[in-house]
Amino acid sequence: MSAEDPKDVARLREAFASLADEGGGSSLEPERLFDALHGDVSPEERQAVVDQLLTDPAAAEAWRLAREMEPDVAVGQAPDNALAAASRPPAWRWMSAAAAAVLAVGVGWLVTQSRVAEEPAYRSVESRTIVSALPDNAPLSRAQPILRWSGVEGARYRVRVLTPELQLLEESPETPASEYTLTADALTRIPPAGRVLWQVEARLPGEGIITSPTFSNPVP
Amino acid sequence: MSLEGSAEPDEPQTQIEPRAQGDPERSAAYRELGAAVRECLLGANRDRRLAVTLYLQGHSVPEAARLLGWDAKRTENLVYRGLADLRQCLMGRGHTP
Repeated sequence: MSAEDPKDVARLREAFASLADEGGGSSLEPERLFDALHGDVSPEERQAVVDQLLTDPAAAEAWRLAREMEPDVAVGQAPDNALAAASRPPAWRWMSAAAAAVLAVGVGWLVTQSRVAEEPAYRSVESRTIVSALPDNAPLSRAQPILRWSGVEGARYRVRVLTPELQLLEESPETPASEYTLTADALTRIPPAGRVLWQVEARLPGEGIITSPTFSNPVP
Repeated sequence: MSLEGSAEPDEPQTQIEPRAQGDPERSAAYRELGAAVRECLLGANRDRRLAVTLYLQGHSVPEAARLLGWDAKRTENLVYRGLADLRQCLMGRGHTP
């Protein structure tokens, strides 16, 4: 069905997701949501959680974010869930933590902007999509942590750098350059073998704002 | 799912184009449609509601089937019928899905 989704499904999905704009927190415990998404609980429990997504936009948004961040470990992709849980890579924990933070604090700018970045709001999406110019999973140097991304003509950028728990580490001033060097002590709050999340906001004269997806890089 | 419509048959229906960032009117229209989707699904048969909820969350039918613990054929049928009910309910409320 996904290969031939009815034409209206994209609009219905977008409309459903837009309920997250209502804001507010969630009454669903993060662990319960992730256990359901990963298939670590009974089908009945999973069904109960899914049913709650309908009336809990923050939980629905966290579910979408967690799935987007770790699609390969969702129950839908894992034929043997026990094995999948046992062999789950460490990265899933910070991904889940990020989405869990969304549950805890309500729908914040991170997920909202992440979704907005996927919207067909621009005439030439390919040339206006911001992508990280750092190799996949490339570690950031603690001595000289430089973030780079693809430029958008005429844009000025701001960068937000966060911990996996969505604590703001640093926010850059507006700059025309498509790279940003973090200040010397920005990564001191990140433990060894940690990780940072970062996101770029591009302001285009007369055309509004493009926000990148959320990137992630390890910090040795 | 409740299929009773509240709108008159010839009442203009809300047609929404993909929303653009920074367009409050379109964003509001999407939220209005989203709220109608939620209300329609809340009135639906539980199994159809669960299947359609996951489908609208972006899951494929096989993913939804595994999550819900059902076989794929049954899940596909529930999504298909649930979407049909949803469209009818939305149209009854004056929305074009």
